[in-house]
Amino acid sequence: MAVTLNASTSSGLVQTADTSGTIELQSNGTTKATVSSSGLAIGQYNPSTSLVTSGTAVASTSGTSIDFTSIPSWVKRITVMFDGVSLNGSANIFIQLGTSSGVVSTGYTSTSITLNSASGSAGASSTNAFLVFDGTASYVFEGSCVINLVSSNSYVSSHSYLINTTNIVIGSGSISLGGTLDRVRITTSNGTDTFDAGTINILYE
Amino acid sequence: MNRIEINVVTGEQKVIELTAEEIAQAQTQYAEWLANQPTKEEQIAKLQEQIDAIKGVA
Repeated sequence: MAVTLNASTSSGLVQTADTSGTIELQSNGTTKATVSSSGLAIGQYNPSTSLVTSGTAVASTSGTSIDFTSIPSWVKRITVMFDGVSLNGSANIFIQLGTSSGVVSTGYTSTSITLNSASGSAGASSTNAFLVFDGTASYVFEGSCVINLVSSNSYVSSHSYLINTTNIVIGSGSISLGGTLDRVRITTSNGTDTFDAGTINILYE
Repeated sequence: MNRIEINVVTGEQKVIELTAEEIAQAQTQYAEWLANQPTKEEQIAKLQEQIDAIKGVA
């Protein structure tokens, strides 16, 4: 038994009471959620809005870097998505995090490699960013980098991108920030190559 | 050279010209990174070690 609050289509609100210490929320006689001594049980979670928020997609057809700013302090995961992204040179791509003090360009641990289905691999590491290995202007990046909050301003990342018909790039990294994350920068390792194709956006949650 | 800045809350987008200082900083950082990368000769030697190991030469 349980206390019930029933939203009836014929009678409106119908209440019953007992001493079980449990309450059920009902829709026309069918229990949708129960609160008891063991917690909250929900029959079907059906939010009207997504729990994942999309940034604003930006055309990565110019510029040496793209910054996503004003990321809320409650965010625990950021996904950086590349759709057809390319550089005009052979620099590597940098993904950097930042706080209200600015973008952080030191203190990372990161490695990224390209895997070729026929002829092996090549790669690079960096302490200046989450590095995404590039190496040639002809690469076009399709995929995402996921950045997760581990604990108090410490983040880990992992990425995988398709770069042409036979190569992928994969990699991981970590960084401990000195404050709360509020921005993400996508830039290049030499600071001078420019984006010349594609779209970049982030999801945050 | 410029960077594009997007505020994820308002959607506002700005194009900001890089300062000479920002460009110089990026180039210095890149030069430092390049200096720490293995040379082609070192990479070839490493690959040769792997080839030798596969062949059972090493």
